[in-house]
Amino acid sequence: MKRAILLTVIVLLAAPGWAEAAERSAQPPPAQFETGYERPTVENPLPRADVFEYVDVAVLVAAIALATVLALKVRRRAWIFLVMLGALLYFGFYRGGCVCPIGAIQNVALALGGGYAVPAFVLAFFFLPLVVALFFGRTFCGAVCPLGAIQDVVLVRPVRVPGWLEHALGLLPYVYLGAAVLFAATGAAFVICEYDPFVSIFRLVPLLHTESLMDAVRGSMNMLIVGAGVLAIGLFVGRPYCRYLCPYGALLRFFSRASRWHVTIAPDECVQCRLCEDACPFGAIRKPSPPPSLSRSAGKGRLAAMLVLAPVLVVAGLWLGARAGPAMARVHDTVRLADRVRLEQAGKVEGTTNASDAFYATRRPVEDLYAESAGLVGNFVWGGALLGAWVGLVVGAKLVSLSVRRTRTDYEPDRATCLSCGRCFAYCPKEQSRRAGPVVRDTLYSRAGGEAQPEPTQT
Amino acid sequence: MTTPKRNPFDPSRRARVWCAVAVGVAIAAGLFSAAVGANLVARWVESLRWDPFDSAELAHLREEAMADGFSDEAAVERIREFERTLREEYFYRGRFARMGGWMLMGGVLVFLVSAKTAAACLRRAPAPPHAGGVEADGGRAARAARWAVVLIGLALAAALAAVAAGALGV
Repeated sequence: MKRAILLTVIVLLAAPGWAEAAERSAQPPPAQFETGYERPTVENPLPRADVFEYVDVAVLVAAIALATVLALKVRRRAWIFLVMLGALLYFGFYRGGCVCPIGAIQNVALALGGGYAVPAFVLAFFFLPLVVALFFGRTFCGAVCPLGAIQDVVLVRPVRVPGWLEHALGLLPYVYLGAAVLFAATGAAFVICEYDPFVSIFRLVPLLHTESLMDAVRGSMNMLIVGAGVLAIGLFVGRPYCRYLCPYGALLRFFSRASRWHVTIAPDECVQCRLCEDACPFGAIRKPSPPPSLSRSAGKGRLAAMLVLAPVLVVAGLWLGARAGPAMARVHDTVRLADRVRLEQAGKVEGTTNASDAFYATRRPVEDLYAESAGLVGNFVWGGALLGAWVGLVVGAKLVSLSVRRTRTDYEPDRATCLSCGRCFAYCPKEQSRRAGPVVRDTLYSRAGGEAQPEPTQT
Repeated sequence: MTTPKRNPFDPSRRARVWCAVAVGVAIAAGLFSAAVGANLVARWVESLRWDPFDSAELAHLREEAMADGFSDEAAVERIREFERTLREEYFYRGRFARMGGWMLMGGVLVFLVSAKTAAACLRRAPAPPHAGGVEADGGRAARAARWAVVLIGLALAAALAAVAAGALGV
């Protein structure tokens, strides 16, 4: 078993080098010249062969499978860390952070909007981590996601984020998800990719080989600075992007809640030693429920109030979102162009823009453009209403969830927010006992004058 | 009375020295990386204003030479020389940025490794935290969280209202 894991880890770590070598070998051989002329190095990258899309999916499947086995069965942080490094090198620095499940949300949303067929490998990237999360939790986040991995690598001295702040900031990924789906489905923008803080960093390394680094990164320098800022925060706050922004993480939370075989802190029964209480740098360990501070009837009253408030928030969000729709529509190029052309036609602005010049050159009737723009604005009114309702629903559901009385008796990972990174295992004395094996354990117990303990069952 | 000889290979002493070295290296690498990063950003900001192919002086030289129909060989040579200087400057900046990028990457790597080593050797054995405080009172913690959620909800509503009013310039 250990050899198989070691072999797979080595293959994953070697994957970037192997894939690059394979891609180079796919290029045609240089022509032979008799004149002594040496063919110059090809500067433009060749198109990527289709087969590598399937290689990417295969690496994803292998990495998720390995991460799942390591988190649930082997329960070793060091191995999980190695897989994470391999995934960071392959999906991050070699593949430049694209394609990734986080960005695939937009492809799927655009396809739902109509007129776009999602490539099969993008669908695989979108659904695979979700399916795995449904059964085994967020092992993808813990060891495979390159965005999570780069933040995990830089985490040096984690500070504890207060619970109230964690709950409040934890709403932002849902809002970001809603906005990203709206803009992608309407064909306006792929905001997740546009504002990805780490892609510039991933692509910086290959760019170091180019002649003009400044020109190459000029377009994304702002995001490079944002990415560096997020990583600087990540020195002390564990994975800030994953916890407070990642829209795919919001989806994974949904699925992971239902996971049947999620990681546990103790391999079997929790002995309530409280050693693991501060083990998680991501605030994903739930403590045993404290005694309720309210009477049962008062608690029920507050819950009822929140249940009444939630639909009110949804309706308020719906109204506000619909009102914001036309303004949000201006993100779409066509709507902006139509507005500009309308102003030019009315003589309210002087001169033309490149976009309006290009439009006039097509000799397309202006009415066509206005009609298309009106249709898009209508879509944004509906979409904005849905986005507003979604935000209201998220806030309402959170308030309801915070008013529900919990009865937890053990320390356990929060199935929604736990990233299955494996840090908490090492803190558990029951886990240490399991690792020591039956012989050592029995010796320890017999020296202490106790009886040999039965073999703990692994979960 | 003789003082007992201190074992130089005492593990705890070695660990302390190792830890101090890691902290020192982390601080030095952090400062180095910050300096290189700041320099690169400053150069980048400067490069936004500097375009070697849009030099006013070069344009002036060209206009002068064009007026003579490029018959003045010395003027043409001056243009060539000036253009060559600009190109050298351009490629120097590229080399500077590339070298700076590698130095920054090296500095950050050294910083991360030494900072993680320092954090690991300064880490204390796990111990149960003190009971009590806000966390022990589930009611107070949940109330604080509810208020924080309400504030975030209000902020989101305000943002949507601002977009609707066109205040955010979307």
